Amino acid sequence: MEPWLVTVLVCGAYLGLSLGMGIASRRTVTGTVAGYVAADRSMNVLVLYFVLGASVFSSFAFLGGPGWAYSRGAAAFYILAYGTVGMVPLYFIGPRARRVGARLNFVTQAELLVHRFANRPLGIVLAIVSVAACIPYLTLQMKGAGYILSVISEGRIPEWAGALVTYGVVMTYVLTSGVMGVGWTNTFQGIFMLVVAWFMGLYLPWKLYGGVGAMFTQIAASDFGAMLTAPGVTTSGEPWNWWAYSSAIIVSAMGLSMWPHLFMKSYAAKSDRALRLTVVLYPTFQLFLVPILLIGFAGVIAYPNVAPADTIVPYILTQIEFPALIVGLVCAGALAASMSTGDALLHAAASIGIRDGLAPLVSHAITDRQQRSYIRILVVLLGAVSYYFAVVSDVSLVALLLGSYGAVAQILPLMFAAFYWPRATGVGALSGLLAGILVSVFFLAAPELRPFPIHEGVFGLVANIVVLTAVSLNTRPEPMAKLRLYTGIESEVRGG
Amino acid sequence: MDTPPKGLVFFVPGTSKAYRLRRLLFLGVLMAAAVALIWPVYALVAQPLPLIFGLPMPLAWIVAWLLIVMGALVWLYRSE
Repeated sequence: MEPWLVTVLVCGAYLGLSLGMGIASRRTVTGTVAGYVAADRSMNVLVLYFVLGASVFSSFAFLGGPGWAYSRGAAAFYILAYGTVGMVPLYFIGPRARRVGARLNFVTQAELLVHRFANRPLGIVLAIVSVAACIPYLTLQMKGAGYILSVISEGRIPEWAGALVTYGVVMTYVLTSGVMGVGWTNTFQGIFMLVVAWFMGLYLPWKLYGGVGAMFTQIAASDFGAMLTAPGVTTSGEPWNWWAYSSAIIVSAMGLSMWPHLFMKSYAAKSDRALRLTVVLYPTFQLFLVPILLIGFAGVIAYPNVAPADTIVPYILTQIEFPALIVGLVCAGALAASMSTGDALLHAAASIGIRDGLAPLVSHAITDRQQRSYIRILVVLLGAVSYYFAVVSDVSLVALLLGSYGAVAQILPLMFAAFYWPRATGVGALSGLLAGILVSVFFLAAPELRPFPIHEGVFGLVANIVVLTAVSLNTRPEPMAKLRLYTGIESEVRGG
Repeated sequence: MDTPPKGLVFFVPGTSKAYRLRRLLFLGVLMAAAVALIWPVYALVAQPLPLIFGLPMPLAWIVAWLLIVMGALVWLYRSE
């Protein structure tokens, strides 16, 4: 059998397994909105761990991460650094959100903020941010999947067909099983990603250089040695400046746990302990970025001048004569990374779009059954729009994606204030969020006007916090009975 | 009390001193990690050599802080 066919068959088997597992998980939850969006608040540590880990690491991890290490050297350490502290806020905020959510039947992030701040426009702004952030992110996942299948089939499967098949599978299990489909497939996909990343990350340096230490010793002694000095280099090869690096870490760390598709999993946890333990264990998943970066560094001396840098993993796979079965498994691992993020994004954005975007705008109440139908329709629509941008349109969504990182980080001050600052008000929260987003987007669009060469999200965060504080102190606070629900969490009164 | 306090409320009244202290200690470790991963502290370990366990120094530094934060999380979780 032709090697490419073996590789494609392995990926096909992986897709078939994902589909079967995703559909079968439908039986584990009820047919309500709480079941479809929040898994009936029943997820255990195992599923939560993989949902969180596999959702964070997208096709960027398998293609872009090694590409950064290959072309930008130490700059790639940034993706490991911000995750070191970025998930921790969920340890404290997550259980509080889970308890309030269970009591008041929340399934989205915005529902909590809308209730706490008694401000409906807040939910609509958050719905717009969530959906606007989802589309370019999902588009990238589809492009990654199409690209992988096209490369391994030596061009026999066009990128549009690869993306269509992969996301046809994702759409099917998201539509049938909702978040449980996401949960169980992410568990399978997460295990797959971890095994493939650690195998490749340790094998390639050993095969090409004799070991990880030998690889870095040779890179340090070569013409590429400067790339290993922190904070690394930019895409044009210039040294990355410390201001830009440090501020990117701050914004990314503050935004990580606030991505709606990640935060919403707080509601799916079956207990506070399950959620806390998941955050405690998360760094073990984060560590898999180390072998991911090693894969990219393995190409630096062995295969110089590969362009674009994001193609270094498929390039190495074709240069080293791996058995077709191994190539297939590695590619399935990359597909797993794309799908495990794409499914969570698709599911979360559709749920938010209906619960926070549509529901407040219609005059009559929408039944549970109608909501589920509308969410499914939006899953299909969002999938179709993202697919259009992935394979048909030439419009670049990179600016939208970059802008969304700055915008998502603006949610953290509101979430923090919701639970730890009783004096924060709805007008303060809405004006703070809008100020943060507008300032962040302004400096993204006009970087030459930034007073300091730092990430635009930092300016947004400063504006957000200042406006939130000033406006809140000058407007009427919420009733104490409601505030006690958020700030007076009874079970945190502990004796030991 | 019918009006909310003006300041931040991290603990509800009645929370034990030991619980508060543990959480504040953890917050200290977290802040130390955040500071260690950006300029100017991270700049002190910017050079790749000597390699630590085969990894360039900046990478080994970040991995070490990842493990420290995880250790602190394990300690906090077990104590609660």
